[in-house]
Amino acid sequence: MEFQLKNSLLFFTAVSLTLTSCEKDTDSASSGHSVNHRFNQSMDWIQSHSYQEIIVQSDDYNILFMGDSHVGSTKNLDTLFNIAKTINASAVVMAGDLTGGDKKDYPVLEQCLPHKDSLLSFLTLGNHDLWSRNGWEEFYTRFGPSCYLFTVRSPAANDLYVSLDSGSGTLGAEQLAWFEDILKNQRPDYRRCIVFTHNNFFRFRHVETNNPLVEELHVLIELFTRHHVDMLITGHDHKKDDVVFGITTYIVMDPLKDGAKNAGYLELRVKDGDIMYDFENFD
Amino acid sequence: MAQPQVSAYTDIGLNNVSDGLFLKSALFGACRFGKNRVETGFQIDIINKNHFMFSGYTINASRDLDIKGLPFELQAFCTWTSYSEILRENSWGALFKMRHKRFEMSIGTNFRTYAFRKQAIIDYKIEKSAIRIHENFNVMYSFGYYIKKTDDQWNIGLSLTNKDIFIINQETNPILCLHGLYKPGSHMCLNAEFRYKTAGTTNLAMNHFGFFFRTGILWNFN
Repeated sequence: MEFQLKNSLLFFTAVSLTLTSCEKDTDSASSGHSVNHRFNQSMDWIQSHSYQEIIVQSDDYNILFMGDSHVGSTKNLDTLFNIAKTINASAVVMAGDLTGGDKKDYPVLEQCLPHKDSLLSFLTLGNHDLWSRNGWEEFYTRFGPSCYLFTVRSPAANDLYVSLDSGSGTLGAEQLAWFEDILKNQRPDYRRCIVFTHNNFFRFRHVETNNPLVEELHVLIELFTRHHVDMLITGHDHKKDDVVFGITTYIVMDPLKDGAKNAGYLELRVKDGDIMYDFENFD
Repeated sequence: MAQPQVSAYTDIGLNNVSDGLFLKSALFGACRFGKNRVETGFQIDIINKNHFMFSGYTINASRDLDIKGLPFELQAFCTWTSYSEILRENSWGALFKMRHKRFEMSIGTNFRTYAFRKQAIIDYKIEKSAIRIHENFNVMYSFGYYIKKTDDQWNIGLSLTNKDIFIINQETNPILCLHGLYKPGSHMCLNAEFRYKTAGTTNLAMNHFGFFFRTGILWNFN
């Protein structure tokens, strides 16, 4: 009996320690890595910098989207930027897991990014980008906020692009409220609304990658539908997929990572208000 | 001889999408016929951001098995949930459960369908091909440990799982569950649970998601 009790106590002590370490993670997260903390810092950044507006001369523009470059090496990323410049893309959108998670990856990524006068780039982070001890600080000081919006103004209409931070598996209550507010109050002023984030929503195959919890999915799908979000563009799963559910097209991109057999990106074209997209793969 | 049973529970909790406290209750009726058991129940949301009262219905059937002297239970279930006015979810699947002294384990699979409700299909002009989406062969699990070998009068246990009665999360979103029970008499069992949910756990970029407390009562008529 004493042995059983001792075993039980040992078990619960171990679990309590695990829980405590989780709480510590969350605590340390609140000083650096929690999604609420990242959201608040992003809002601070936006207050002092305002949102970016891209002005295009015709109602026919394109934007390249990529995710999961996992820098380290930058061969595919360099190629993508060259393609973007060649086709005169309005911007490149980078949907998380841009680094492999090592601290030394951040300066490599920063150096690789084109100057904003030659090509605009919009970044958001993924789980890998948070792996190093100061992952968020490295990202924030070099690239700015993880949740924000930018707009494209064409002669015919304006389109809205929203970046959401799903790097740690959830948007968190504050970012969700911000997103809901944007959809309620700003979305009606725009023709198209495209959301990009790192985590893919649906689980079509069994991999170790996280998706938003089911409770959060219900809320997000409802928001996307009620407010006519046209498209969600994500990475994370490393395998392209696209499905229309309701009135939203949910897209998962192939990774841009060097060495990946399916390395690729997505070309989005908006012409006279219609959205077209192509998955492009490197040979 | 049939052995009827009723049970009920109430959850109170908070999470990243609840916009404040949520409060929900569920009521179940079950009947055992020898080795077989059928159960059905429903859930109502008393306090919920979406103000949607009826939020779930479930039915399951199970059979006790004896494999090499060890007791197992095989359960088939079907669940309908409705957490918003425009969307519903349906899951069905099977679970294989076992309890060996202090250890409890269950493993199974489920097939999930998210679908828009009829009025939403009309309101948002949703095309037929975009009404529903399926996720097949999702893994369900629960691994638990109890302080006592049997649930004689009381017991306390801890488990890691991705399933609850009306919500089955993805296998990559585990939930930590501390639960206890107390039997004040031969017909009644009181139980309590605390569940803690995180997001991003298996991708090593973790964030708090939410928690809830559950208190319940079970009454055996025989």
